[in-house]
Amino acid sequence: MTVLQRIVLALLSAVLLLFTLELIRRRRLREEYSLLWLLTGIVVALFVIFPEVLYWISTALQLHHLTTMLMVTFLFLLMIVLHYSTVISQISERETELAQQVALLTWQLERMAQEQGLDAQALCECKVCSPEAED
Amino acid sequence: MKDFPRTLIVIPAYNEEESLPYVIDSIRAYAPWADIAVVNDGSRDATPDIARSKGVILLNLPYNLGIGGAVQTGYKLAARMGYQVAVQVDGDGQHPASEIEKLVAALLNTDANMVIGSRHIDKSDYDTPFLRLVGIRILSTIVSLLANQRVTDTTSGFRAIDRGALCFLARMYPRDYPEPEAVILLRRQGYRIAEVPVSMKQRMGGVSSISQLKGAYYMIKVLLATIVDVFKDR
Repeated sequence: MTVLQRIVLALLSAVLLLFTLELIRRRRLREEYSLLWLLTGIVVALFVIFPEVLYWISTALQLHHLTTMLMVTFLFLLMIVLHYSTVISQISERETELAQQVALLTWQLERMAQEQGLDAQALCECKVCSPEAED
Repeated sequence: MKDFPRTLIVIPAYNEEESLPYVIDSIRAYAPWADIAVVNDGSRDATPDIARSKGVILLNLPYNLGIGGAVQTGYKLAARMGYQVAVQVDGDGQHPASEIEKLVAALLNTDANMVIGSRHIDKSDYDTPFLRLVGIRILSTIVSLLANQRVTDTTSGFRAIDRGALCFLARMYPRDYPEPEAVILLRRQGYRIAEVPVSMKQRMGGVSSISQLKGAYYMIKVLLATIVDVFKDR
């Protein structure tokens, strides 16, 4: 590995690690989903510190060309994206169930409020309370 | 008046303020023995206000789920409240309320768990565009094959289900283009399906959820979903 390659990889791993940590800090990324990215950053950092490891792996896997390395990277990213697709599917299923439950419970609440002579619609409105409430 | 089972009419409605009053009124005229629930699927118009002023059950979804999620909300209510029969009637007015009794009667008099109101058994005054007819034929053939039963109108949302099918569909219902998929799902669980001829009208207001351009996309998606369904484990 040339010096330039090592510098580029070192920067890449540092940026990846810092960016991931920053995303966690700002609560934009949940810890469980950040593990993969942190791991990636650490592996790249290892390659910079111990370039021999990269050589061992590439000889063991017979990856002598840049294109094959690119393929491996591509496959890795593909797996991450696929993983996220399953996460999204799961979330959208839960979101559907949640919305339905909200609709059903709202109706029940409105019915019960009506029985007690309360303003049912106001109780169930999805508005955030404003500080200057009129009463 | 004959003895009718406890029935909930489920009306999925997305921006149907034009046709909804008529739909509710005509259901009340033709099926006064049934309760009515409007599922407002995140409409931006007066749909929920109309449902409130008409005094029907209003299930207000906080955002748009699509027809499948909306219908299932109604089924969940029916399942929880102990209804014996649920009938889906679209909010656009193309399902004639005068035929509801026919669907429910067929449900009671046959051993079917679901009765579909079909536009294509007899000739009706419903004027289907040619391309859509071709699509419907292909879809019906494939769904019939997968369901191991001949179904002429797989996309018809005008259908009645009994308590058994209701409890199953309340738990599991397809989301995007649910009608053909639901047929296969039920059949694979061993439920029985029957069809009765109904005459449908052209929609009164709003836009069809399937525009001409989206027709091909609809076909592909439904086919994919239905074929994949066969391999999904439950």
